[in-house]
Amino acid sequence: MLKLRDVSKKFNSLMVLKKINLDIRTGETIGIYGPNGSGKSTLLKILSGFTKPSCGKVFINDRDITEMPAEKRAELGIAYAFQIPRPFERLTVFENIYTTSLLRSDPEEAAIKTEELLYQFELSDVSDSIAANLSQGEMKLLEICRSVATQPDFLLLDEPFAALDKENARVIRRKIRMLRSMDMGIVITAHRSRILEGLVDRIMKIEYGILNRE
Amino acid sequence: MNPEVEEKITPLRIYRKTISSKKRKFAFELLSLIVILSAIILTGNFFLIWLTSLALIYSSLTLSWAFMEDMGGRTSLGHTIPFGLSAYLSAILLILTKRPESVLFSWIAAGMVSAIIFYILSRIDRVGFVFITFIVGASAWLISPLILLKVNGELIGGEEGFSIFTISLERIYIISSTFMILLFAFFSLFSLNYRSLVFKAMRDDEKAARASGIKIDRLKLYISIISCIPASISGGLYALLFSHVSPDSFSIHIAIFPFIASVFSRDESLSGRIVGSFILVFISNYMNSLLPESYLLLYAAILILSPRIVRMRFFRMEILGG
Amino acid sequence: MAVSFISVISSTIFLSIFAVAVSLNFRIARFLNLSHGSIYALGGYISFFTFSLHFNAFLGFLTSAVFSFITGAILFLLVKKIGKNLLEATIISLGFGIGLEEILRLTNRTGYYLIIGENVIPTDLRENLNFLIFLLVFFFLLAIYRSQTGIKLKFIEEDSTLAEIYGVNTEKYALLCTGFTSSIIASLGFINSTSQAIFPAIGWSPLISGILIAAFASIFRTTGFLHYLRISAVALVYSLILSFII
Repeated sequence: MLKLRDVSKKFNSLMVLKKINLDIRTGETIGIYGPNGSGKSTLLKILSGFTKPSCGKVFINDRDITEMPAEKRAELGIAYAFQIPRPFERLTVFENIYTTSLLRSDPEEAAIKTEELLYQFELSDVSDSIAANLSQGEMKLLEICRSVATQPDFLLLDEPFAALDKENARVIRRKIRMLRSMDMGIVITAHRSRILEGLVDRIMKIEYGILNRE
Repeated sequence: MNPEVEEKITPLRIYRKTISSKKRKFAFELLSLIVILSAIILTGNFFLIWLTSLALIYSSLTLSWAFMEDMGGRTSLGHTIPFGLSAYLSAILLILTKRPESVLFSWIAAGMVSAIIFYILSRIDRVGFVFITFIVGASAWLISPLILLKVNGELIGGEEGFSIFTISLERIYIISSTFMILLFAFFSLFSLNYRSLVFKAMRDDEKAARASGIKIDRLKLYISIISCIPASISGGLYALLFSHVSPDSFSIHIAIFPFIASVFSRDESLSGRIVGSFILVFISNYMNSLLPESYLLLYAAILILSPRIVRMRFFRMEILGG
Repeated sequence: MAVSFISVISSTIFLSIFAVAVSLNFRIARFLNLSHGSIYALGGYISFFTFSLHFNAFLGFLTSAVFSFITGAILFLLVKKIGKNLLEATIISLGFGIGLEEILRLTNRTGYYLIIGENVIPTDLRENLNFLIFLLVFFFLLAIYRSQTGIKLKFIEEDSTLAEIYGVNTEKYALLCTGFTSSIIASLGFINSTSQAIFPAIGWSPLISGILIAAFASIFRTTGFLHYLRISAVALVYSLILSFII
C-alpha cells in the first residue's frame, strides 16, 4: 500500500498542500480532480519523489520513503507519467520502451515485453519512429506505456487527458481501462470529475491544497 | 499483402535489422580507417605522417568529447582540462623522474582528476555546464604560465613551457593511430550495445530517466571517467608529438576544437567527427601556410554560424527520418 | 602594507567595472558575452595607435568608446539573427570574440606584444581614471534604475519574456546594453593597457575574473542597482584573496 500521512507542501509562503492523508491500494484506481493550482501535480510529485514534502511522511508497504529519490522509488514500483510527455526524444519508440524494460528484465525478455507493450498501446506501427517526431496523442501513449514498462505496483498519471482532442482522449481512456486489469494501484488526476467517471473506483476533489472525498 | 510476410515485420525485427545494418556500417568504416591509416604510413612522407598524427590526436580528443555529448547530453568547452593536465603532468614527471613509463601514470592520474572535476560540474544544469567547463578550462589556461620547476638551480616552465625527449614520428603515429582506432571501435560498439540505451535516455531527459528508475548520478560518473581518460591520453600524445608542453595545451582553440569538428557531422556519427577533425587540421595547416594562425578566423566563423548549421542538420534529420 | 592596500582597491575598482559589464549584459541582453575579452584588447590596440601616432588622447578614448559600441551592436545583431537561446548566443559571442582577436593579430603583425613606449598615462592618473569610470558607471546605473527605464530594466532582469508580453521593447534595451557594456570594457582597455604589453589575448584574464565575480554575486539573487553594489563587494573579496595568493 502507498500512503501519505499528514503531508503538507509550502512554496515560499504559499501553502500548496495541507495535511493530506491518502491510502492507495494495489488493484485500486483513484481519481483526483481540481482546478489549476489546486495541488494535484504537487501531490503526485510528492508520491513519485520529484518533490519533497515540507512536512508529513510517505510510506510504501509501511516503509518510510519520504527522503527517497525518484529513481529509487521507481525501483520500488512507483511509476510516474508526466503531464507534458517527456519522451527520450532522440531514441525510437521501441528504444524508449526497451530502455525502461531493460531495467527490470534481461535483454531477451525485455525485448519481448517491449514488443507486447507496443502492441497493447497501439504503438507498433510507429516503433521505429524517433520519439520527437510523434504526434501529441502518440506521445501521451508512449509516456504511459513507458511508465507501465517499469512494471509498477503503483502508477501515477498526471492529467493524462490534458491537451488532447476527443479521439485521442478516447484512446487513452481505453488504455487506462486496460491497465485497471493489471492489478496495480492507479492515481489519475484531471481538471474535472466528469472525465474520471466510470474510469476509477473512487473520486476525490482537491481544492486549495485540501483533499476531500466525493 | 501476404499475411506471412506481414507477420514477420515486428517492432523487434525492425530494431534488430537497424542494429545489424549499423554494425555493418561500423565494420566498413573501421576497415576503411585501417586501410587509409596504413596507406599513409607507407607513403613515408614525413610531413603527411606528422600532420596525420596531429589529426589523429585531435580526433581522439573529439571522440572523447563526443562521448560526453552523445551519452550524457553535456557539451563541454573544457576538455582542455584532461588534455592539458595530462600534457603538463607527463612533462613534469618525465623531467623529474627521467622514466618514460611515468607518462602512463600521468595519463591515468590526469584523467581521473579531470573525471572528478567533470563529475562535480555535471551536477549543474546543462547550460550552466557549458559555461562552467569553459571557465574552468580557460582559468587553467591563464594559470598554466605560473607553473615553474627548479631543475639544476634553473627555473623552467612559465610561458615557455617544458621541453621533453623526442620519440620517433613513426612510433607516435602508430601509437596515436592504434589509440584512435581502438577508441572509435569501443565507442561505436558501446553505442550499438543495449547498455548504451540508459545513457542515451539520460542524455535526452534526465528527469524522465529518473522516473524510469535510471540512476543518473552513477551514469554521470561513468561518463566523466570514460570521457576524461582518453582525452587525457590524447593530451599526453600531443606532448610527445611536439616534444614540448606549453600553456597552449589549455588554449581556447583546443577547447573549442571538438565542438567545431562536430558541428557538421550527423547526429552521433563518430566517423563524421573523425572526418571533421581531419578536415579542420588539414585546412588549418593549409591556411597557416598562407597566413600564420589565420585558421582561427575559420573557427570563429564556424562558431558564429554553428547554431544555424546544427538546426539545419536536425531539420534534415527530421525530414529524412534520421 | 599601504601599497598592497592601494593595489587591492585599484584591482577592486577595475574588476568591479568588468564584472558589472558582464553581469549587465547577461541580465539585460540575456547572454554571457565572451567577446568582452577581445573588446578589451580592441581598446588596448586603439590606445596603442593613439599614443604611438601622437593623436589626441581624448579623441582616441572617444573613438575607442564609439567603435566598441558599434562592435557590440554588430554582435547583438548577429546574436539576434542566428542565436535562439542563451547558449547559442554565448557561443556566437565566443566566435565573435575569437574573430575580433584574430583580426587584431593579423592586422598588427609588427610583433605579438605591442608596448606603448613611454609612461603616457602615469599610474596615479590611470587609477584615478579607473575610479572616474567606476563612479560614472555606478552613478549612471543609479540614475537609470531610479527612473522609469529602471523599472523596465528590472522587469527584464526578472522575466524577459513577460516583460516583452507587457510591451517592454526588450530588444532595444538588449542592443543598447550590449553596446554600452562593450564601450565600458573598451574604455578600460584603452586606459589600462598603457601600463602593460598589448596582445590579442590580453582580455581573457580580466574576463574570466569578471565572470567569476558576477557569478558569485548572482548567488544573492538581487535585482536592480543593489545587485551591482554587491558585485563591488564580491570584487573586493576576490581582490583580497588574489593579493594573498599572488
